[in-house]
Amino acid sequence: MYGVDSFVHPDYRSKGVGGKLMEARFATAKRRNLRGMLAGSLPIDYHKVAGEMTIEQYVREVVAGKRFDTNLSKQLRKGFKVGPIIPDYADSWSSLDWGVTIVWDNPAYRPVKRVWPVLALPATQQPSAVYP
Amino acid sequence: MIVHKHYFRDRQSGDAHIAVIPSTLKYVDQMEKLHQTAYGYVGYVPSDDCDECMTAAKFRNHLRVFPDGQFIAVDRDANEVVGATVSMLVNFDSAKPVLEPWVKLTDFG
Repeated sequence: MYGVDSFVHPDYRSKGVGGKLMEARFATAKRRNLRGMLAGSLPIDYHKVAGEMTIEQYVREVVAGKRFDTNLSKQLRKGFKVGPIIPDYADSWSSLDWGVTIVWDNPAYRPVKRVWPVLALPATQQPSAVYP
Repeated sequence: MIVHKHYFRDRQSGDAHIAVIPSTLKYVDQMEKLHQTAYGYVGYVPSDDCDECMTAAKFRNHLRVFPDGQFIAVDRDANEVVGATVSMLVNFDSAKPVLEPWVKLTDFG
């Protein structure tokens, strides 16, 4: 499952609404036995320190907990892991268009065993009927 | 559709009137308006040059393809959509995730 978009009205932020929306997605992933979630996170506070450090360094510090990002830190708290950082992910002045790959593995995911249909029965079990 | 009851239980006492429910077609216009408010482009007329503006038509399409992945947060007192989330089914390798620009992954929404 890819997280296309998630947004909350400015007056309703910092109330855990976004987190609850994310949990609803997690529930769908568990119920549908999906591998997990892939999304692009916008590190929206990067623009404040973009003059001082590279995006790699910034993300490293957010992951280490030395720095708080209003978007990325909350997603990490929800159990997302960080993957590669890509430029020009989305038009966003606040993250300078950077996008951070984030992945959540569904702990309940069970790979489905493919059951092949029996093509040929042993000779002794072959139906004996004579077809017209 | 299964509505997960425990999402109605609220984390903080202050937001007891907010419910997360599966989104449906009747909310898509409100979602379009909310997207503009949330991303700060109210008044900007969505047009062809706005690749990343979410419109009612795009929300409708996601609802048709993957209804289980669409949710909204509703303020039950104000009877207003205050949050929304859109998801899409994709195949990916969790150990080596590859992310591409949003417009490419979603085909402009």
